[in-house]
Amino acid sequence: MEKKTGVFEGNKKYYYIGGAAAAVLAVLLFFLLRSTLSNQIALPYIAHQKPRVDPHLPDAVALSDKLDEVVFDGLFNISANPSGITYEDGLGELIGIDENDVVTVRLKPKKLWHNSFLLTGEDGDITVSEAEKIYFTEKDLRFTLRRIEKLGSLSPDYILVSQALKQLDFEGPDANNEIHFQFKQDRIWTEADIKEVLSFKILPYESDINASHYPIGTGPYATIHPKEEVSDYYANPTAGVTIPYLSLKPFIDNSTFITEFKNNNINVLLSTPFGAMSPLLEDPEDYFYKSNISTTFFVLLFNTERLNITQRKALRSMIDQRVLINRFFKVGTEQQRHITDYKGNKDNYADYLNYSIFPSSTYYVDEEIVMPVKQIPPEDLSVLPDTIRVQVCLNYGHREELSELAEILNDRSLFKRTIKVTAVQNEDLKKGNYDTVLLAFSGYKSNFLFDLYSIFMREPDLATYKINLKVNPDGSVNPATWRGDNNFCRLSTAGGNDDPQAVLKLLDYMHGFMSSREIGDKQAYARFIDEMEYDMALGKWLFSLPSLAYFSTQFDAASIDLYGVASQLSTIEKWRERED
Amino acid sequence: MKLRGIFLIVILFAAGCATFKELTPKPEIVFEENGYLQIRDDDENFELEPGKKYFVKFPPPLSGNIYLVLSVENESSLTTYLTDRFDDGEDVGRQYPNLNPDASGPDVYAIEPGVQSYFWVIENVAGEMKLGMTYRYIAAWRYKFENRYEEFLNVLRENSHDRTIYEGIGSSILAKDIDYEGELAALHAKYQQLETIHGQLNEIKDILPAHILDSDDASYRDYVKLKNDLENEMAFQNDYRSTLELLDASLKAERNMSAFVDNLSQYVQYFDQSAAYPANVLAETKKQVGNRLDDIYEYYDALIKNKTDVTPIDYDAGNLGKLFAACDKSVPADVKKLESFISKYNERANQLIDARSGLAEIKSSVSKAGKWPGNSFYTGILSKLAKLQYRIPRAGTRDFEEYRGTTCVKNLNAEINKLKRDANRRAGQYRRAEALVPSINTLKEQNGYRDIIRLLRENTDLSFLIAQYPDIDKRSLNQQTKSIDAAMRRSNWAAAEKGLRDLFNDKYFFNLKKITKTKIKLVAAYEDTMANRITRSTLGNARKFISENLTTTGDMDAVYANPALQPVYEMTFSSRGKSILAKHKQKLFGKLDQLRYIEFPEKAIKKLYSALTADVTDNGVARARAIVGHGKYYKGSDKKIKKIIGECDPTASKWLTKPKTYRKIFALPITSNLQGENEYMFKINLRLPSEARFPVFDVNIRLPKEIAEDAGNRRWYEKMMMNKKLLKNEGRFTITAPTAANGYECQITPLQVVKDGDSVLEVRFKHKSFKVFEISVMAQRPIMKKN
Repeated sequence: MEKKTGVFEGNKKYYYIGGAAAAVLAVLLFFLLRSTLSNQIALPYIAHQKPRVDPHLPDAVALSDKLDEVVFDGLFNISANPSGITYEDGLGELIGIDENDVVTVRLKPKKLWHNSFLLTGEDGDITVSEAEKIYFTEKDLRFTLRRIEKLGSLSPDYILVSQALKQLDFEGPDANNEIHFQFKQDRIWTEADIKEVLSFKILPYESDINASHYPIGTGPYATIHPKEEVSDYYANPTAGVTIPYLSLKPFIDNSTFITEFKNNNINVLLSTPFGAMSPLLEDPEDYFYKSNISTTFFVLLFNTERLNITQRKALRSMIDQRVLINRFFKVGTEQQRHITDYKGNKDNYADYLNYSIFPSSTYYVDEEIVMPVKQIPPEDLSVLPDTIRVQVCLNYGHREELSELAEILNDRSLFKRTIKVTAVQNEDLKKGNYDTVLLAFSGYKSNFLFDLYSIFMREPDLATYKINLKVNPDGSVNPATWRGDNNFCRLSTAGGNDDPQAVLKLLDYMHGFMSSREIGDKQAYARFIDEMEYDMALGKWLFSLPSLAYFSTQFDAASIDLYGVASQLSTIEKWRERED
Repeated sequence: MKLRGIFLIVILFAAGCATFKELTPKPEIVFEENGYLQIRDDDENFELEPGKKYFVKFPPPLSGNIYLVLSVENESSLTTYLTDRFDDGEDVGRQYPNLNPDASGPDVYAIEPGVQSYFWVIENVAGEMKLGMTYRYIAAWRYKFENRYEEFLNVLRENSHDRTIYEGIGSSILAKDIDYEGELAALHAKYQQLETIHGQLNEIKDILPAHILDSDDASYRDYVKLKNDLENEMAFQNDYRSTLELLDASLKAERNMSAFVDNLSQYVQYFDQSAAYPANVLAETKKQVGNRLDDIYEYYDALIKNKTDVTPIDYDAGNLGKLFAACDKSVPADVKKLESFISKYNERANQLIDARSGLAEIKSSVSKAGKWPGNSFYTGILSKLAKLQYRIPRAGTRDFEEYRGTTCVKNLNAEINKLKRDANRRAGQYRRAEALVPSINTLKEQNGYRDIIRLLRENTDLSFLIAQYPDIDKRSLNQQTKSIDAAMRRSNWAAAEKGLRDLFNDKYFFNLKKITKTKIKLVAAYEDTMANRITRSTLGNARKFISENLTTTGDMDAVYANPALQPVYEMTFSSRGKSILAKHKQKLFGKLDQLRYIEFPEKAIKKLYSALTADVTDNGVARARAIVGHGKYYKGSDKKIKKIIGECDPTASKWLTKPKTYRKIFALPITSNLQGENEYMFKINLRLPSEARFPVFDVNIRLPKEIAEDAGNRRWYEKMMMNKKLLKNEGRFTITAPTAANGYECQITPLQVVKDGDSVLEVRFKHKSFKVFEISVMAQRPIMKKN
């Protein structure tokens, strides 16, 4: 007798098959259509804040300085391992130091400049072919030292190198390709000291000494499109890099960084909004994070043309940055933004509060070279205008954070006077129509080389990074450096609301601080500047932003070592993908 | 046969090779005095060839004083010489001189026996010639006499004087008519010529051979005759000249009796030879002299009466008597009286001279007696003087008869009396001196020079005595300076200084004015000596003390307060004023201070430091403290010494001037608990160069394990201060703990210092010990790092 089945029964099998096929297709589509970042490191940047790669000058865009480590080598390169900082041979090999403090370095003769290779292709599909081999020679080193010397105090490298070398030059090379540096004979130079001093990045000698950026190096990654302002990078064939491709992904602002990271459009996020841990990135199966020291701080710089010293002091006393930070991180609320630091501390918000020009994370505060006044005595607020006008530009980084801060400052319940924060265009800042300007300073260094020029001498134009330092032939600072409209505080040595002599003195101290290669001088000037700024009340130093980097678990966490103040990308050539 | 032939050839060859050819005359040459003999080769003369050389042998003579005479024709064509040794020209003896001054005459050679042969050598022949030659051996006397005989005869003849005048004196020729001058001159010239040839003949006489004296040799006979004739003429000329001289003198005395008296001895001598003169001559001479004797009395009488001095009268009584006799005259009575007076007068005058001389000798002996005569000196002088007084002739005129009223007699008496008075006065003075000298000598023994000066001052009229004590003031000075010197030798400086002061003020000297300059100089010199001795003694004491205390530890203040390091005496007097006194003090203290404040601490510190560094655990703290104790007194400028002092002084900061160089310093206890815990301290002054306006440094202190090993449980230091400000291990700088792992090294970093000023890091710690710790300190400039 024949067994009959129903329609459903009959079609049931097809339904199952169809369903399964659809599921497989969906999975296939998911994997096929999802962004794949295999064999590459993808970093975000804000499209209109292009990183400008110059290994000898700091830049307002934090990524710029981080990329220095990617593109360039020094004679020796600073790296890190789980135990801390290490120094590795770069373009040189340390032979030794003699009793007269002459340091002998053998230049590595087979190091090739990136333009020895032709990189063609797009989106990671890069073909490497050989071009004319251009070797690193002593000419490149000599050119680099000349450039560093020319930059003077604008370049942190100048401070570091000139504190050790009698002259920014060397003898040689000899037949063994060895060169000799005459180090100063006032200390015992350890191998680490020598390598630290000689870790400045080296440029090819045919470079323009005044170029806006430098694409050609000998470092682990070569610029794929050297002629473009921003380029992706491909592994230097001679560098032994495991992850061949480094791409820079442009975005409107940092508000979407988390989403893009989540969507696998980027796989490394060197800083998170608010410096906080993200609930979206909690899954350790997909992400891991690493902290290091803060590199961004927020400040309200006072307009000295609009507020006299009494008013500035009153305004400074009126704003309590502890209130601000608690609101900023929504402390005690369900939406609290949690933070962690490289030491393992959690939610230690108070550690990020600043009380001085020198952020609390810096050596100068940490080592108590300066001891800022934390409890500012109350001032007579009646001297203040009814409304404190604050301007902020949200278009040049940290949009999220600055918006949040503006909102907090605008909360009339928090302060005894009305603060009115207005978001303005970059061009409006130049006009100085503010009592105070809210700014985020990125990429600051917490070591000896904390940069005051970028705070007080930067042209009030967030689209560019221009330092208005003028130096006299005798090396002293020219008073024309501060002209009122060429800095955020509208400081002028010609007069204004402040004693010109005091302003001049402050300028002299700042230049002394920045140009000195002596620790003692740095410390002394730091104290003088801290004390003087406290007396002159040039700003309200709010707090620093925790520095937290997220990585996709595509990477082997053990291969990524970040340590303290070391650059986040200083060990990029060692990063490798996880092997499951 | 063959051998003989060869021998002959050799001989002939040898002969043919000889340089000189011997000429062998026939007959052969023999020695004999036999006139000239020819040299021939048989019957011919030898033929001489030009350019060739020859010689001829001559036998020697058998006796001395022989001449060889060689007469050679055309001798100018030959070059020849005579020699007594000739070995074919290889060994030639002396060449004999040719005695013949006439070059055209024969050659004459004086030859002697005893030579084997004489060789007449022809050195050169100018042209071919035959040798025409004779030779002769001849006695030397003969050669000399015969060759000059005619010459001798001529000289005698030409110099024989005419005897006419001599023979005519007193008869045909009057004495007054003779040309005395011309005759005497002619005689003088002729006699000289005769004397010359007389000498030459005597020379020949000396070489006459004995056998010739009794021979009839003609030449000898000629010689004898010639010599006799010559001597006869010479005797005549002598007599004639004596007569002329006497006559001439007597004639001249007619106008000058004094000259006559002066020549008395000449006249007497002439008449002593009266036998040699002919009678006419003798008579005339007696006459002429006798005439003068008649005027003798008048001459002397006048002379006595006019005489004023007291010298003896020059009267040759002996010769006058002889002359009277020679002239056949007796002495007149008045002349005899005259002689009697002169004799007495001269006796007394000579006695006066003798006495005078004696007194002068006594005076001279006193003046020459020397300084400081013995006690008996003047006794002897007085004895001599007494004898002298006895020898003084008596005065008086009675004996002088008719001449007693003459001036010379009166004066002689006056001089005698004067001499007597002088002798008597001298005797009185010498007696006083005789009494004084023993007293002076006694005082001298007692160093009583001031009393001697007193005695001499009381007898200043005894100038001869005063003169015998020329050094009395000097001795007085010396006696005082000796006392001063003795006091100084006994190191009785106060007594010495008192002596100096007394001497300076002493005015009691025989000749103060003369001695003052010396005295002042002496006082000054002794002042200097005293100052020098005080300095020397002081320094000697100090040096001895220093050498004994170089390694002394303990209370250094007590060491430096020791009297051995103080002056033995501080002078309060100087004859030259306060400035010199100050100068002496300055010199003394300059040297003493050099010794006690420079040399002593320097030597001691070096020695102590050497011992300290050799082993700091051996009494180290005491040595270090002793060094610091010396340092308190050190006034030198030796940087090394100062550095050592600083090293050992825990309160002194040790300069650290070179970066990165470890400097070893001592950590010393500043408490003195020998058995328990002590507080230690060290200080470092960071004076390091820096380009910074506000320099800072890392300071590394490498500690001994003993101090640092428990640093993990207990802070190793009590406190650290920088320029007296307490350093705390907080804030801007760090003080790292010393551990075994870091070699017990403590680092202070970064340490702010004062630029170009003192930056004193003071570290104090406690430890249960009492010893010296060695600590190493280093500072270097810290650098900035990026990371």
